Amino acid sequence: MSDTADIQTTAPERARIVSAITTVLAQVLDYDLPELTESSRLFDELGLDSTGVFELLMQLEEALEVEFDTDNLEMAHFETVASLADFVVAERDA
Amino acid sequence: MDDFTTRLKRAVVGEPDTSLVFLGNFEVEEQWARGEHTLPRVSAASGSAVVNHMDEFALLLAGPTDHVVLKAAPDADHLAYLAGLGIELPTVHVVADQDPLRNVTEDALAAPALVTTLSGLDAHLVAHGVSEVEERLAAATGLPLAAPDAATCKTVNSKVYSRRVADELGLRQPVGWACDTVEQLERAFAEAAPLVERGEKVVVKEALGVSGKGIAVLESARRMDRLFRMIARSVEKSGQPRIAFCVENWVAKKTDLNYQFTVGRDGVTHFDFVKELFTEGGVHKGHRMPARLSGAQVDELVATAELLGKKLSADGYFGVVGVDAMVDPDDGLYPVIEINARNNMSTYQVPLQERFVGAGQIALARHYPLRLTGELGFGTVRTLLDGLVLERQGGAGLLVNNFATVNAGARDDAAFDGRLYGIVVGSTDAEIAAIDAEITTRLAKEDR
Repeated sequence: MSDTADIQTTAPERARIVSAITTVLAQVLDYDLPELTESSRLFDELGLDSTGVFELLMQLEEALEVEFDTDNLEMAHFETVASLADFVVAERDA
Repeated sequence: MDDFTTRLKRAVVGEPDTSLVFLGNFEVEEQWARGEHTLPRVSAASGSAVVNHMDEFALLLAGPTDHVVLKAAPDADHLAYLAGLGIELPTVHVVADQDPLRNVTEDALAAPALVTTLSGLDAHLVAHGVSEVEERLAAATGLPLAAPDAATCKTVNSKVYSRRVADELGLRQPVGWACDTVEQLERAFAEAAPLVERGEKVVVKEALGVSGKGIAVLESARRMDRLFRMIARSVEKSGQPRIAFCVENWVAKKTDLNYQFTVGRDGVTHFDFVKELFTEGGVHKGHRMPARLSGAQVDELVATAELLGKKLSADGYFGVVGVDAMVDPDDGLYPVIEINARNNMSTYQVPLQERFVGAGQIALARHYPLRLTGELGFGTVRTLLDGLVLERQGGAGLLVNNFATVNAGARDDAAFDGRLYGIVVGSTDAEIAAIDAEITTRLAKEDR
């Protein structure tokens, strides 16, 4: 978890976001995922691909009732569960 | 009959004896799509490295009097294996400093000594597909491009062009809309709304997306609305009003097909082949050749190719054209899902198919995913697959047709993904399935 995320969000809120991410990943990837941690790597380890990113974002927006700015997506946002949670927090607070 | 490479020369230069310099710039769509609005996306650097090293496929399309520019020197054991099969290889030119994130043409442009060498050749330049980058290399080397200009290539490779041409020629395609303004997209979504309301899916495709990428499947009005707002906002922010998307009804299919024809400079169209996409458990694994189609179905595709060839020629295109098509659950054809007026993966298989898939034989072209912690040599793979590798014309087994993609993503500090591309030749589907399964099992042991 990054320092930024610590400052901007409470632990239960962070847990809610991480939980939403893992639930949505299971739906998008559609196979029995291993137990996920914040350091689980979305592309390298779990097999997310560029087409899956759109579906992941849509489902996350609906689950967390936020809207992301999708113009400037960076690979770094999708590196791990933790980096995606940081992205969600930053977008929510934007 | 002339072999494919000779016919290609006749089509794109007019002279069957000419020399060509081949560039395997796969995913040229990325160049065509520069400055275009896209669906939300990110790209993985490791994936780009493997795609860029698909350039090595060109090695087997070129003949002995031709030249191939590659990002990396081929594995010596792989070259020896190919020579042992009786394949006469072209002259290979390797770029000086390959960058995994650049395609082969971009690497070549950044290699002055190579540009000088190419300048001295009496040859034409041919590419996987022609973008402005290939035009720059042609200008830098003085080699004429044996292809239409990049602007024409981009136009005829747009899925918007494909949909409109199919409509114009009266060819069956899924219900859909080609959109080049936000207003058209809004209208398309409004007209597609009843489809999702009754439980059907709608797919949105970037007009210049790479096959299988740049698509979004939408199952609810809410998602359609959200995607529309994303695109509209992106247009508003950029000040670039022109968009290029297709919206289509997601239709049921039994089989995906890929067929190819070649349009000559003189407008003459030659139908090259039709292949069937091979799936197992719903996962796309490769191409089966020949496709299992009735004579009437093949005739329909040949007639479609003739119509498309005339239209493409009239619009200034000549060269290789691949078309994606589908068989519906009732054996009817959708003869045009997408026109790819460039080389396709299956283009590079043709010379091998002509030589090594004999009468009565069939073949499966596919790749085997690998997860590696260190570079793997062809010699090791050949030992590992002992008894499963194709050793002679008329035989059965795996013919490896690209080895560069195995080690393309190699990193010192971490495991990496690679792909071993090959064609499994055999006499029956059962024989091919057995060889394929055994290869998969043995390669899994090599995964570390």
